[in-house]
Amino acid sequence: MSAPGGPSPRRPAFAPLAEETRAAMRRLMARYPNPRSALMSMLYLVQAEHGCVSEAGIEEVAGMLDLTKAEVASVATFYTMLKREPLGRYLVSVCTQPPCALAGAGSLRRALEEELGVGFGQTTPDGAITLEEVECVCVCDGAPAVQVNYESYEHLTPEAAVELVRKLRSGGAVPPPVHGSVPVPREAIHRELAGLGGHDPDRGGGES
Amino acid sequence: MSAEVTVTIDGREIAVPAGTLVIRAAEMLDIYIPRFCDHPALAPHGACRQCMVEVEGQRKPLTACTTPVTQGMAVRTQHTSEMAREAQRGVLEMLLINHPLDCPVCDKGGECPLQDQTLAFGPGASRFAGEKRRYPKPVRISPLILLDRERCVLCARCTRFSSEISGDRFIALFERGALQQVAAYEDEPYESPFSGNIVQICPVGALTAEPFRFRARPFDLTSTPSVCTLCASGCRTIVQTRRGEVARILASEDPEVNEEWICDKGRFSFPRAQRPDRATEPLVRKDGELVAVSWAEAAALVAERVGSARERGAPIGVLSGGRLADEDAYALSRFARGVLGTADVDSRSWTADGEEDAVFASMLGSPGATYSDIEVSPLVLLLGCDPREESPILHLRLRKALNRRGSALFEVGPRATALAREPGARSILCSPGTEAGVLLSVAWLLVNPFGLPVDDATKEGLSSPGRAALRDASGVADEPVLALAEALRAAGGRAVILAGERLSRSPGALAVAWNLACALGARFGHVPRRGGFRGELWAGLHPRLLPGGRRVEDPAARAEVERVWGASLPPVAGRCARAILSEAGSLGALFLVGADPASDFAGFGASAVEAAPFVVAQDLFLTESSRRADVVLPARGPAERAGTSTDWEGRAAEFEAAVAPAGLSLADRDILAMLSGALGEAFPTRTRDLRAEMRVLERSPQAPAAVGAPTPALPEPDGLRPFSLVTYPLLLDAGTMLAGSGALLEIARRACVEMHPGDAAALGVSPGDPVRVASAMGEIVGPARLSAGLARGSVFVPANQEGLRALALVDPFAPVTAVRVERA
Repeated sequence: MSAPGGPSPRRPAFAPLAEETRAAMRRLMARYPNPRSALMSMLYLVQAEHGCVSEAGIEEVAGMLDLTKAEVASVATFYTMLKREPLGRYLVSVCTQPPCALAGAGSLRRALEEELGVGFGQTTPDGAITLEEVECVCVCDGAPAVQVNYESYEHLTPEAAVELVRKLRSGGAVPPPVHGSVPVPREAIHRELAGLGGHDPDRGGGES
Repeated sequence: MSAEVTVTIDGREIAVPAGTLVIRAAEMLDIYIPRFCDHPALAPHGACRQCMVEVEGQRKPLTACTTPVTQGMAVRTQHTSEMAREAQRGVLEMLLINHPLDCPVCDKGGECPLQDQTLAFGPGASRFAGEKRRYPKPVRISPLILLDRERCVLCARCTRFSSEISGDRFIALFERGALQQVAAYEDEPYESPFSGNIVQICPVGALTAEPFRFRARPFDLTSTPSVCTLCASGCRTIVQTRRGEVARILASEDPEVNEEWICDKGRFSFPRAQRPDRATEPLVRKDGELVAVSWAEAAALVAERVGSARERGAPIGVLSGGRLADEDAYALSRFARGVLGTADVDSRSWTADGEEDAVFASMLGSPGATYSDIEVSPLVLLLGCDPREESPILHLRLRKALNRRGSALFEVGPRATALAREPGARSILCSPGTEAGVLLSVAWLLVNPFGLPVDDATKEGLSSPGRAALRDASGVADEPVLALAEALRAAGGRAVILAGERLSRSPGALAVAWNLACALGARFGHVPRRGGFRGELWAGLHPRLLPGGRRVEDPAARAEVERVWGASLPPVAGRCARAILSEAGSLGALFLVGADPASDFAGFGASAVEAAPFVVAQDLFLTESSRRADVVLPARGPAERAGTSTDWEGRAAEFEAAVAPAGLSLADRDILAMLSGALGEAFPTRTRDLRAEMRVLERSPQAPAAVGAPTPALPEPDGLRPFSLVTYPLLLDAGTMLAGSGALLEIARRACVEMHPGDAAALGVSPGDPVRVASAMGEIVGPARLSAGLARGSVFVPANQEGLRALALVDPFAPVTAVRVERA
């Protein structure tokens, strides 16, 4: 998909979805009286496989649900957790809303941008980390907060944040956050968001 | 169900059905609440927030367009409530933050709800000091429709029209927040035959149509109420002119007919009247060339040649083409039979035997199906008609019945229509020409096991030996036939049966469908493709029917017509168009009035026009036929003369002339009166005299009567050409009336050879491969398109698409054309 109306920049071409992804999508569709209800979950599965909601994925999902590509793109461009550019292995989301800003989110951002060499909305050239700005991750008491693949790290200093992304980048073990668990690679996260099994048994979401 | 509740709006009480929206209840009291997103034909949405009102007992203002009234509700609008006023002012101010103040260059300026409401209720100045949101302009969401995103107020009328009304869901709201915008997907353009409607219902200037953009200001236009005659839907329109030329055509409102929609063909094809090939003065062939002459000279020549043909007793053929106004059609029938004394009169491009005559005769004298019947019917049986291509507004009404009313639809034919995808629709695919067999099986089930009472003749017809063979040839399984029979039994007299003119390609099918309707007490509708056909049929432009559907062999009926015309009528049946054309060489004269056999019958028609010794063409254009004629008489176009048009329902509507006629052109009826005068015969010269005669000849309505037992015929297999050709013209094609329509033709579908995937696999054909289709008449090559919505053993090629004209293949003497199909 492109910014509607604008000239579209060249996008990486994606392979057709794997047959097992399609089978998973069909299972999701079967969960609802109206298969269209599975649209968001199916887009997360596209994202699990392609790293973003690819044009190829939009076309396949539209075909399976008998929707137009415009209808699918309308949903895909509305939700901010559905991405249009391929994500890195880890998505680092920096909250910049007032509670975090007052607690030093600005210095966190500068430290991370300097360490990674990329700004908000960009991915490091090695494909390890995508840095983004988010609005409130609901741990204001832990400000400033940063999420890594949707696991929240609280009370981060710039040094601790830099240390965290270095470990993520080098593939080393990272400490678990105070609440939640060690971030898992994004494929697993997007499968979980799709409603197909969770890495954390406490959160449920197993295949039904 | 519809209990009444009483509400008070601005202190005035009104009782309305429960569930009525506050905004509608206010309208009933003539209280106008400002709105942008609200549209009575679309589901409530509440997107623009402009219609805020105060409701007693509610702390916050509510949107009048989404709030149903309740018993005792007290509503106060902007007229009486400071809260409502304040809320509406705030919404308007917010909409204007990003809306540009470019009204002086905006096409909507002068007819813009946002402009009007800002003037009426808005602030004089904005408090917003920042920079407005801007976009590169405009986005071309289709060849016809342009979108200026900065003007959009996100009311979603256009996207809701596309999903709720037309079903062409190619536009949607993309993005979010301040960047939310209407868009089409990059490689999926908004190509809909109904796209112009979104321009008309856009409450701002965000959507504009290419043919009108920057052409005129709305307040400089002169409006004339009119009726579109390009198909038989009967849409009410408004023709708007500027300096004597048509500037645009808008949909007008008629809840009984087109509601408030028209198709893009009706809206955007008007440049046709200003084309270089327009006939503007009488032409006579001299030394092989058509040269301009006076009306007097042309009329004298016609009188001389026709007079001598009459003296010699040479037959005279008269063909029309479904394009005439009712008065012109009647005048032509009167001229042909009363003045020329011929019975060789036809307006059809197909041949059918006596069963069709009997159906038409009974149909013209009895009440038939209407749009309203369709909307409330639990079951519609659709035969030989593709409404989206042949009667687009009928398509919208059927779509509405299926989606909003939960009706069911069965269609029987070789190719599934666009309606087959709608909920409750079912397509029974059969080999071309075998529809009669499927319908006879349905009728047999209804009469025998289900016990539907019918007369003996009908019952006897059901046992005809041809039925089983035809049913076998159709390739239809038992289950769908049983399902259709059961659905018809359940619906009974509430069913509606619609038959298109292509049903006549299956001999006997029209009669079975008609008899089924009679036996069930169901409403029947005949849906022709061209807008003038119903009027021409009524007028008697048919070899065996006189005005009003009187049978030519009925002496009493003949006498009624003779009394009005003061002429004696030939008591014999005439020949059909194909018979006339195939013996064109022996004619004394051939009259073509809005008829173009050289196009409709391709090569066969062209050679017939060449062979006829004297051809008079009354036409708007120099068509393939009229350019071969000996005399061309320029006729007035649709917006150039007043008249009446009768739609497929049989509903007549009058229209006025909107522009001055082209050149020296005359209305067809006036040309015929002139020719009668030149022949020394009396003829009504005034439209009102013609109308008075037509009223006298109107028959009092009778109950529809079953016709004689049909004689189905089995299509003969052709060993060399094992495929059957399915063909009909698409809505937007290379037809005469569309030439010169510019951007409209860019959305005409690219022509393909459509085949069933199974047949394609057997022939080793993949999508896009060039495929050769050859009949005894000729051959064409086009890219393959695979579709499971086509009967096995059939191949569909649109009749008249640029670069691929199946008309050249059609065998004029066979109901179904046999073809050979192979990879080219």
